Amino acid sequence: MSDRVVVSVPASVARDVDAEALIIRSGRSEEIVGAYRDVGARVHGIELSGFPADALKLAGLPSDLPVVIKLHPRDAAAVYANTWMADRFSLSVLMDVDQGLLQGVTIVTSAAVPVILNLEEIHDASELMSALRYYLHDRRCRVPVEFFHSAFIGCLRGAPVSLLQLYPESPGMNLYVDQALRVTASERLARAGRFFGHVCGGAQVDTSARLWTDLIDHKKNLFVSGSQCASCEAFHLCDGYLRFVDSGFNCEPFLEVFLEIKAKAREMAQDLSEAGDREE
Amino acid sequence: MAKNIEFVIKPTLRCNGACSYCNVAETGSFMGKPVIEATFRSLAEYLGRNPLDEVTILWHGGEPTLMGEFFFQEVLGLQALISDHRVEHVMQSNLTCMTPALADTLCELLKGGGIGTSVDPFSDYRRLKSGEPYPERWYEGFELVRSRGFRVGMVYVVHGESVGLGKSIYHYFKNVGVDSLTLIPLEEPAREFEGARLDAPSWGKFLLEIYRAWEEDRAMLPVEPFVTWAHFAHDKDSPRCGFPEGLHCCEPTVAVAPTGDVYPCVRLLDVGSGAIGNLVVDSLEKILTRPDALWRSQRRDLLRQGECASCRWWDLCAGGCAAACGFGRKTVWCEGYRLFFEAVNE
Repeated sequence: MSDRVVVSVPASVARDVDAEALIIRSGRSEEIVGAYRDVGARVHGIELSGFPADALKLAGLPSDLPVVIKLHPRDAAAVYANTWMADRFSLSVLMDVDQGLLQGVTIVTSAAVPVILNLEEIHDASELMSALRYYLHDRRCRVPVEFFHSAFIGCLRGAPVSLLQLYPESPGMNLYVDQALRVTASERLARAGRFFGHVCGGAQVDTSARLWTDLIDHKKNLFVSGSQCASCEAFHLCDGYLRFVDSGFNCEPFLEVFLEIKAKAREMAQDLSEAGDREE
Repeated sequence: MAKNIEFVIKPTLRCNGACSYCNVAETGSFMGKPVIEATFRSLAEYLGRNPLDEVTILWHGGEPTLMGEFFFQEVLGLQALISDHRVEHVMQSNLTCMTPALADTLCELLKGGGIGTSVDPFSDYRRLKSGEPYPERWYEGFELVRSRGFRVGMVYVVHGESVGLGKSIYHYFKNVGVDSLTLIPLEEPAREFEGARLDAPSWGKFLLEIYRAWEEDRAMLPVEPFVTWAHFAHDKDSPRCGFPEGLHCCEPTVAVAPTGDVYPCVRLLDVGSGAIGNLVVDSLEKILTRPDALWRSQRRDLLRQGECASCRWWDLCAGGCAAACGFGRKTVWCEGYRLFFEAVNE
């Protein structure tokens, strides 16, 4: 495996995984600290399931370490009790797409903590558009809300950034190891029971596995199969990410969001261009 | 006055494809060394005497890549004969038999020139004789030539099943990453075709569908004939105007068959009708001075004096494809064009 592959592992088995770059996951501070003791410099980031009650135990970890907190919108207020983490680490919140999303995003961003919408946990997308409008129009929002931010900036620059780039499932770059030491490319694929390898020292991948080839040939498969994604007007903002696990996934709320992002980016580009013309 | 000459070389009329609506009568063999040498010598002599003329060589077929890399390496050698002149090479290929070695050779020959290609994303009219899936082989070839830096233009044949899918078709080609899209209405296939035919009103309807998608997308993907029409609408003195020019039907066109026979139009060559010389025995200059070398402009003059005289859309249509409609007749798509132009200009 290339040294640049980042492997996401449960903290409890981190020591069993021979990889140069690890992201360690857990819901318990003690487990994270213990794993860090074992694997040290190989840790490239930490993923916590919620703010642990004993989060202060993490204070001994190196500063500037990227720390991602997985949160449901209803738990967003917990960010206020843990603002010290934003001072100490490179902190962001990975927020489930569910009821209360707008309020959750508003709370977290008001604490100046960036939000990443967790597209591996989409339960209710009905507030997606309100959240986008908050990100686009509310002056109090001063930190990025992903994927909105990168998609918008990409459109503004004429170089769209897709969900597949923002939530990579490229086995050459990112691997995900589950508790049973099976290997796949992301948590949602693990949940769908789709794997292409296992850990035996390092991550052993089977490049002939169906999932592996599906991931490698993802784009080609969309275009040769006549899939709806191939003719979607927002393809460049998605690259078929949303329907990779479930081809029947209802993209409608996302499509509306993508079209809004494109329209607003165009509007801003035009405003900037007119302002430039006026200055000249 | 300096001329722009479209030099279409068809080194073979054979093809690995078996597309239902192909209009090429697949006959004959492959262009031999004497013919390709005579073609380049003839072109070199002509350009020596007419150094200001510009030539675009379009490699066409059949499927030109069936000739293989060694043929095109020979062509690269012959290219030295005309390298001092303004000659650009482009190619039309289904890309399904592209190999890395051939792509490398073509890189050298086509330089900045592009490759035109075709695929049909929503119907299975395009097939390969081998039984392999056309879309997959096409996509692999497409990725290969893109990785070598070629510009790839899509030529999409509009048929009965295309109608209603204009928006999807536009976005498919934009998403797949081609550099341009050219729309051609399905005309008379060379063999029996049992698929959905296109009639003139449907052509107009389809143009309108795809035009709306193009407009909504701020013309991000260049689509012909819309780009040419838009260009003309903004600059009526533009030397480029009309649908035939939008399809790069330049005059004079020198379409060279594998035997060296020359036709004034690619489509006449495809059906083997109306040869105006042979490059093995005739000089290019002699061929170009034959009156029927300029048959398209003669046809336009005739139409403008006749049934198209009072048409307000003449500048945009120019009578349509001459070969498809016949010398004295206006385009068979007239009603569709009218529907389209009127709807867009409302």
